[in-house]
Amino acid sequence: MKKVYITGSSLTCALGNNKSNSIKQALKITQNDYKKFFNPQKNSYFKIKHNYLTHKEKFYAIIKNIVQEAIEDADLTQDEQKQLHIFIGSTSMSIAINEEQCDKYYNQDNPQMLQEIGYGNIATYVEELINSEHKAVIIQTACTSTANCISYAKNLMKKGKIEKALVLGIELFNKSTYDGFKSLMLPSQSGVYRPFDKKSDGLILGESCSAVILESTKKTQNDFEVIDSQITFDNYSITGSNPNGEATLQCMKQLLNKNNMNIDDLTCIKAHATGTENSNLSEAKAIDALFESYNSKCDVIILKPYLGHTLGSCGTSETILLCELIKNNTLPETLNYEQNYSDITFTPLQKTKKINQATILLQFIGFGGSNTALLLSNKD
Amino acid sequence: MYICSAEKSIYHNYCIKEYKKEIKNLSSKNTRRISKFNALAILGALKTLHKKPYDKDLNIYTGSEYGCIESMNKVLEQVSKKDEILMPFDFLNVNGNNVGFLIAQFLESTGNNFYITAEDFSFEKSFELAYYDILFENVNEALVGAVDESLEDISQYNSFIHNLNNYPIVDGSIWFHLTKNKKNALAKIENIHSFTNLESLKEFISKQNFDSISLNQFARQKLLITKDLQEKIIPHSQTFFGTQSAEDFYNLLTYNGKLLMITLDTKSRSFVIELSR
Repeated sequence: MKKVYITGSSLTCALGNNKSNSIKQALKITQNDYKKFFNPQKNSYFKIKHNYLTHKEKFYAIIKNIVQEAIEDADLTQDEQKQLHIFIGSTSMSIAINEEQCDKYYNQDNPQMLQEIGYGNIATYVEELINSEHKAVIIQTACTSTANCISYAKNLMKKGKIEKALVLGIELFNKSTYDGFKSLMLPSQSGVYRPFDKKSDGLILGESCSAVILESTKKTQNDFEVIDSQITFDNYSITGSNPNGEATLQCMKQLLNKNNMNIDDLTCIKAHATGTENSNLSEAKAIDALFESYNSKCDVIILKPYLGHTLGSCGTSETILLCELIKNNTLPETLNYEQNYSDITFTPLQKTKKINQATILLQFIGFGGSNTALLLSNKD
Repeated sequence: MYICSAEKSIYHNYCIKEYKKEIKNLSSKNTRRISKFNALAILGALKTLHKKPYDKDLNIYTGSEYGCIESMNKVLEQVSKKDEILMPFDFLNVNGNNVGFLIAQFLESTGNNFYITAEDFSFEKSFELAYYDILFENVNEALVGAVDESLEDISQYNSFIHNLNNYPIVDGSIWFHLTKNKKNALAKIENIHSFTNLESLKEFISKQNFDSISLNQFARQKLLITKDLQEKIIPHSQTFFGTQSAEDFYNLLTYNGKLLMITLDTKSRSFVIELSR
């Protein structure tokens, strides 16, 4: 069976307009100066700090930059680019472009209400951008979309069905998602993003676009291997996890078991940690139960206070952020965290650790009951 | 791997009530807040597995070109008009992947579900992921569907889509149950292939000994149809919906012998499913 490595990546998000700036900023942020980075009085979501004339321009310009940066990072030749199989994950896709068109339609500036129907044209845009010979696929499973893209690409590569893959995640601001989350009363009222904290009062959405290149040989010593993945389904509710946390627990447990690993083999678990009460409690309960079943603990990392909740793209954006921070000798502290839930025994990582080699389990949970866990390592 | 049941549901842009009425004949579950797209998908999935044995752990793969377009229009209108408030279920109905959750609820299944789009190949890529998930033993059974709403209510819809023959556009929901069990199977899936150019496809076809073949709209346009080939091509539908190739594939299941489904996209990339019956 072939191995799969992340040989290149790129990221734009509220932290910075490219991966290098995002990582520099994430390394700089401390709890004391967090409000300089994200001030709830000025912001209601984690926004990419670059202005564009239209949503359409923004959407395609960001994709172009991110895809090209990932390819440059992996140092792919033009022939290698052609071999890339493309997997795209997102929840809202290009809905902002249709919103823009719809506004023009109602202002009588345009006779057509829609700019596009379906999202296949986005995939075609990426194919043409890199001259890929292969048909791009969009997988939508809400907040596990890009984690599932990585999982599928990895499965096909390990079995030799495909050689290389580009996984792209994109989630940009749009009114439908913003108003939709408000209608579900999920956004934080306080504006302080503190998942897994007793005082957590909701999530804060974030914009990001990110990409990873997957290849079967390492490019640098530090490249992370995608060892394996596991997907489970929680049929409790479309918008919420079963409070017993069973689907999440099984997802992590099955992944460790099939790789003959236990908690002591992990450096950390990156929790999904949305910040909403139901999801927080369910996942925290699952992590607690996992630690209890192995009679051991590892560090628990929470990244959303750095990026916001980047929905369908969090599979790539949080994976890249964590891998790159570890490559920079950092296991990041949990920002805004103050107090545990009363019946949860673990505490998310309180103080940044210096670690540059790690085996990590990244957990993702989505609307519609999807749970996905990825197992990555850059250890020798 | 085998196709052990399949069901084709093609309707001329029915209103949602009609689908809900049909669902009620098959299930006692509540359909109150379900969108037209989701109702169409649930109905097709329920009909496919009605009174058939299936593994509760089966995975569900829903392929769609345009997704939940009616719900999307409603949400776009609501967010554009300043005096309207977006309601939770209207927002949730535009998330394409909710369809898998709802189908799982109606089937009372516990496997994973995926919502897949790939321009002109949304059914094919859904089928491919399901095929490899079973082949790699990630799952024992899969339910693969192609679901698209009619675009009749969208002005100038043909300017957005690839309806080469301007056929009347319909609602479609076509599903296939894939298993490793050959008992009462409709057909055996011998292999799947994809080619990145027309020459490779032509070379592949020239080496095949087959009895019947289905060709999608691009394949009929781009392949040189010899007399010999013409005799083996099965008739194609005179209506159109987004994931139309699933209907060609379904129709192929009424023929015997070695069967090929060939679909091409605008760039002459192709996807082939080999069946035997």
